[in-house]
Amino acid sequence: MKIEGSEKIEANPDKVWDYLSDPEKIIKCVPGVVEWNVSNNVIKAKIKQGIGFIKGTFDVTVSIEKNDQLKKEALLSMQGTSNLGNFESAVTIYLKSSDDGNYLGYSADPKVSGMIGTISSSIVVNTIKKIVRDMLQCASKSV
Amino acid sequence: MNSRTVLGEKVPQVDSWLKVTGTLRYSFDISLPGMLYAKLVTSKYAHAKIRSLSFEEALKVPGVVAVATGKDFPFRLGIYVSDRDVLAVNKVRWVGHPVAAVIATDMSSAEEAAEKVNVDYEPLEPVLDVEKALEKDAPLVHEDLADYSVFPGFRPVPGTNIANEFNLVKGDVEKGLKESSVVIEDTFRIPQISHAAMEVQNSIGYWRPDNVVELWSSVQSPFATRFLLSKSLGVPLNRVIVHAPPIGGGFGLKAGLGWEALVALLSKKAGNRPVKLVLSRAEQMTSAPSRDLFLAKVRAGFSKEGRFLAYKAEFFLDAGAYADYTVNVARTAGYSAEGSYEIENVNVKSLAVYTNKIPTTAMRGFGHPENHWPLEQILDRAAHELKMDPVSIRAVNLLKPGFSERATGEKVREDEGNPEGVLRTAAGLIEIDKVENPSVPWTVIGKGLSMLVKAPSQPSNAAASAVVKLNEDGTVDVITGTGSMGQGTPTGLAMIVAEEFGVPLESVKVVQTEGVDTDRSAYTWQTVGSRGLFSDGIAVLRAIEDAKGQVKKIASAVFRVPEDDVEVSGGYVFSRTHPWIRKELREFANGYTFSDGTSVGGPVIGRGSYIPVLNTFLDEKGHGSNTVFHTYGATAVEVELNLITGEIKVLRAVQVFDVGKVINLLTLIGQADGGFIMGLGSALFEEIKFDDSGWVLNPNLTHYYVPRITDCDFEIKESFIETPQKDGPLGARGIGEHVMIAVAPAIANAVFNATGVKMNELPMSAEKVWREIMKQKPELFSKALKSFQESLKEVMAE
Repeated sequence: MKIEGSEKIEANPDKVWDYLSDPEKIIKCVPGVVEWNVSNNVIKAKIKQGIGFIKGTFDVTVSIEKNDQLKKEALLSMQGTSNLGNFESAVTIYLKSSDDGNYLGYSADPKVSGMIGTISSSIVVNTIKKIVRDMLQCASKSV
Repeated sequence: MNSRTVLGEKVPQVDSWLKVTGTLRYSFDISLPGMLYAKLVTSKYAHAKIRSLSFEEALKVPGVVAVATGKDFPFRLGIYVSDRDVLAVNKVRWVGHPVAAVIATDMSSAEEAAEKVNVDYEPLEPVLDVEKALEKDAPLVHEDLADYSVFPGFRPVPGTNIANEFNLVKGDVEKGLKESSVVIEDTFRIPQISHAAMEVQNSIGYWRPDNVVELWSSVQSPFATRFLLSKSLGVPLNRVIVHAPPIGGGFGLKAGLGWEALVALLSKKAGNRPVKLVLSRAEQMTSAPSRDLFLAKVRAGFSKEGRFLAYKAEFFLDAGAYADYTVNVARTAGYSAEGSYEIENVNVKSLAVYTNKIPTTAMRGFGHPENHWPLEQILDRAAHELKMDPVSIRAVNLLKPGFSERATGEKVREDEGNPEGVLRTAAGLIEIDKVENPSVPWTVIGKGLSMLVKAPSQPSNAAASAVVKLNEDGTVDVITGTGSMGQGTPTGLAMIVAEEFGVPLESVKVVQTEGVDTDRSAYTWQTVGSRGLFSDGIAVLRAIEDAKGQVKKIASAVFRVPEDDVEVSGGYVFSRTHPWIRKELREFANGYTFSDGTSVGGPVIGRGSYIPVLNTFLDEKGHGSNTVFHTYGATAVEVELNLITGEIKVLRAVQVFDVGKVINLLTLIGQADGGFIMGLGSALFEEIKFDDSGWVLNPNLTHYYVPRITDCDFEIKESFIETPQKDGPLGARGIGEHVMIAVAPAIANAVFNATGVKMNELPMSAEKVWREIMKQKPELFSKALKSFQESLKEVMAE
């Protein structure tokens, strides 16, 4: 299941990128986070999230594998477990500019198992887009 | 004098009133002072090492009393192979494997805290396929198999994933195949299915401060549970008390040991407070056992006259992560692989194989729905090749009571039943030779039948006992070890007692109708294997005889006649030779008191017991004598198959069984009908679906489809033959499991006979049947579609 998308950034893109690059800060913008812990650029968090008709608490680990501050491009590795299923993915995020403004782009190709694997990919993609949008709005407000 | 009025009648269950008014107490309804609640934390990986486990945050949740992990409970459990842990130790073996349990004062706190238990896993390569599990370099599910304790007669193979290997050898199968005119060879498959009992498993454990372990649990086998707990936990048997209230459906799921060890140990950890665990439906379908997946590779040879000359079969039972009962299911599927037939040469290898999937256990039919699925289809296919009909080929090969010998070497008893009568009755009732015309040309109507035979699969010493007490008002109390799970045994036992004493049925109370209790009930091995009425029934009859003997002794003194002149019957005690000398039975209940105040005798308490005396273990070739009775049956169906959609619709069904003696006709009809519908579910709909990581994709009764009332819009005709079993209770045999065994092969045979399409895999869902039609007989689809289109044109034109 390929997930690709981009969201417009209304605030200063450099500041937003810096904010996103700081695990201690960005974790506070993830919707549904109930507890978290950051150590050596690794975020461990419990996130309550609903996907389609199912809801669960995910134990999520995010590692920042690479962060090119100049190009504004980062590679993350994410994995999550829950009673509904697991996911595992490399995630690329990047900033891009176009005539109508600045965008945060992202792409991932997660391996999904369990009940979440039975949900239509369009529902999963829409859920992820909403999470990213909420995170960006939160980050934009905070910078 | 002898008013034999109830036997063979349609008698409602003795607990019907309690059930329909909601007053019968199940274990779920029980609440104890100071009771705590447990919630499981389960594995998210099919196979992984537990790197670390932390629960500090969980302990901070208000109401949480303790969190237990596998390291708290270093015990191994299991009825035949002690391959189970209480909670996962060091590694997890399937998605859903319990790794920890949170104990709290209320359920919501336990649930909240369970989400705060952090487990760090190191994923290992899982093995999710039964054939891959047998490959040389397959990951091992149990590295320490050699250290597990094993019940006599079972043979795990350490260093492999084989939980048990069983072989049955008779004659020379290769020679038999070579001499055969027709050889049928194929591979058959049945997926893992759920017991889908209405009541989920639930248990309360109370490790009392005086070190008595008390349990209230939804169990079929309170005495076996007590024994296994005692053995595993090192607590003396008489310091373990298992209360087993009536259960809301068991079907084998609740046999052996369930969650009782966990709740007992959690109670101890929680400071000797009672702890209750109630599984959610999702936990029931992922953390608890299901029925095995079955794979069969068979070759069967027949002479040109239709004689079954050779049967070579390899059975692979995917036992999941814990084989528990399934080692015996595999053994049973192996030793009974020949079904109702006498086959000259037999070679069956039956393996129970570990994989990283849900554990498996006993289920109604115990290996027989599995082994009858290939066997009964082979017969129809051979008949087709030999231009015989399905009845003739079976009749030629049926075991002949009094003459035949099974492949195990066991003689077929003269009084074992009437298999040919069963076969011909089923064929007659379904009118197997009568061709039916479909209502629309894109469907076909097919008829099929399948024989079945099964004996209880139990240890050679599976005993039962009973106590019968007379009360001074003429009522009778019966104490047994078999409880009520909807199967009707307490009602059957009450009818036997009423019959033998000649008292009204309402005067008899089977105490265990409202629950078994290992401190206060009589011992019986387990409520499984269709053995309840047979084993407990014999024990009850012996207890009645004992009680009558005591009454006769007292009456002899009262009547001043010899004991052997006294008869107890029809609710009276009288002299045979002087029948006018008689008194009511109730007058002897507590001994007899003469008019001058003097007394003789004492309270009458009859005691009876039963044990199979001639059973043996089976040797390495599968030879021995290990059965107490066999019940023959046949299922026949008339189905309509839609050749465009692949949908199978049952139009009529016939269920025939040789029950030896009809005790309660209403119970038999209920069993025959309920069993058919349960069999229909596994035939057409049911399958636990896994993804390639080992996750169950349908752990609920929405996506795991069991038959609804709308799927059962057809007539079932029941017929019961009575060939008395000489040593059975009044000649009776059990049928609790038999009723579902032959349903799937009968339907598959109906499809084959109508179309020539072979169905090797269950469930026969519309999609699967359609795919098989397209693969094997695409012309049937094309023709049906054309006729449908023409019909549509005609309708449109009108």
